[in-house]
Amino acid sequence: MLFGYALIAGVLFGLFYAFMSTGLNLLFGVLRLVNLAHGDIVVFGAYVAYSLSSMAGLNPLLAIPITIVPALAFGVLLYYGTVPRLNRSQDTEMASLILFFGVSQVLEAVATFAYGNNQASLSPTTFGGPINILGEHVPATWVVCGLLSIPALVVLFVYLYRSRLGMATRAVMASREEAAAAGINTRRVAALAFGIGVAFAAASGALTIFMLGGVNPSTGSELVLTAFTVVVIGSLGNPIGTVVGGLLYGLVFTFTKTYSPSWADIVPYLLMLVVLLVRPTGILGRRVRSA
Amino acid sequence: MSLEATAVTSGYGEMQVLWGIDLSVADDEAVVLLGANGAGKTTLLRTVVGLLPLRSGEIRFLGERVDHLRADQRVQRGMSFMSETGVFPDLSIEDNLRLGGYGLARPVVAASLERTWEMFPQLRPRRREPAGALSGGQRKILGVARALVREPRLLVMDEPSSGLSPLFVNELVDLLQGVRAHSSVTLLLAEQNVTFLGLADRAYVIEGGRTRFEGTVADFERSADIREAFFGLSSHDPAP
Ligand SMILES: Nc1ncnc2c1ncn2[C@@H]1O[C@H](COP(=O)(O)OP(=O)(O)O)[C@@H](O)[C@H]1O
Ligand SMILES: [Mg+2]
Repeated sequence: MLFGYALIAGVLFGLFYAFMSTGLNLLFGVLRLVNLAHGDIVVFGAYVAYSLSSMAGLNPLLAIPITIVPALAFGVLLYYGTVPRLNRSQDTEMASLILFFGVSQVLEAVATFAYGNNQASLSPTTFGGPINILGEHVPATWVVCGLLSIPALVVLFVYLYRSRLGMATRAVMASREEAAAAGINTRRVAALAFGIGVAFAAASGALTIFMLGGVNPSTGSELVLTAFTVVVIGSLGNPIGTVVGGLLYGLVFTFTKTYSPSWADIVPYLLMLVVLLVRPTGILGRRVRSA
Repeated sequence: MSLEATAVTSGYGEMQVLWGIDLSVADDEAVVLLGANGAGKTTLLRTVVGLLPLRSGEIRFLGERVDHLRADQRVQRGMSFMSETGVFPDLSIEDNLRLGGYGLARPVVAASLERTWEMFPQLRPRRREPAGALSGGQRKILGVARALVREPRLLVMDEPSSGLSPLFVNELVDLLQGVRAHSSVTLLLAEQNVTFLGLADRAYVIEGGRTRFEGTVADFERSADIREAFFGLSSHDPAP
């Protein structure tokens, strides 16, 4: 049954898209900056998984624990190295777009240098043959990657909603000034959020190589567009919105892929446009309040 | 002296807003900063609290220079700031209060929260609701409660009356009076609403980023021209 297949695949892809996009949203929520290098960081994680598996014969998912700490450190350093400078510039938004575009180009160039322009992919049977879910035969890689996204998202939510630093992060997202007035070192909280956003992007790379069937150095530019769409559908700056946006994106994508494949690449963006026109703040966006 | 700001200048980008303001608040004193819209009250408070950089002059808090400190560091030293919004509308009431005690030890925050629930029993059953769901008046009460969680030495408030009906303004003034009677908090508040003179010891009037008047509330009430100028400006309700 096509419908059941599309539904299951849509949910699995949705969970993955939520995980892959959530770092972009965290960063946007805290800094009001779009990290154009987000997709390239995801691809970096994908290449780590690729190397572990194809060169060292290890489980590609080991890339997740291996990349998290370096990516976190990279994010924090990138923050301290650039954002305070950006804030001093006349036009922070423009300067940040240019800067992150630069970072993105550098990462792409490094990836090309190290891996060439060809598609890097891993066997779709890495985790075994198709799995039977409610009578549908779904590739094991999709099941593993979709389900692995759940604990990743849970970790982020526990951080945001159960820890003190997470509460401070949400406060900074809500209002940087109000947060500073509450005694929060907003720069430190933002640096950490930046690091976590980058770490989540890199960690999701190990799943991306399976979900997309492979990556190449230019995949990053497509992924940042996907992530941006997911985040805008859910609502910018709202972490729960990203899960909603991811699921919606995944479902719309797999259903169009199933029923009218030639539209599959464009329909999600049409969805974003519709959401933007009907609800400019995203599906879970806060109502615009006066007072 | 709780707060001593000398020759403060500040502004935004190319635009200078404050032109050398002196402001002092003694321990346990309540000072009201009056001024029409755009006079520079918010700018002055934000500069005092550290949300806006000081361009020249100096700011002392409890005898020590604080102008090189970030806002969060000043808050950790005992300043509390309630902005005109006063709360995080999207965060829950409980999160708002917990943020009021950010940086304090957990048991201290827990005890403080308990005190807050006793003082404002109407907030407790709604603690999981977003602060934005509260009415304007209750939001201000939450703002005050939040600012008090860390038992500040100096409570700085920006237009607590904004958006409130006269009835709620009186309630808020009573609340602040009660707070002053029960604890030794020093108050500095910016207002357009003269009702707050009722709880003040001294008043400043600023106009165009300069001090127009400084003195006791009694002086202010005697000073006909200032009063007229000020009442003239604030005869209609302040904008929300
Ligand atoms: N964020 C800002 N950027 C630029 N100018 C501002 C900003 N905030 C206030 N101003 C300007 O500074 C002046 C003083 O404003 P403000 O301190 O808010 O006055 P008040 O609080 O007394 O109403 C006004 O002319 C206002 O337009
Ligand atoms: Mg103001």
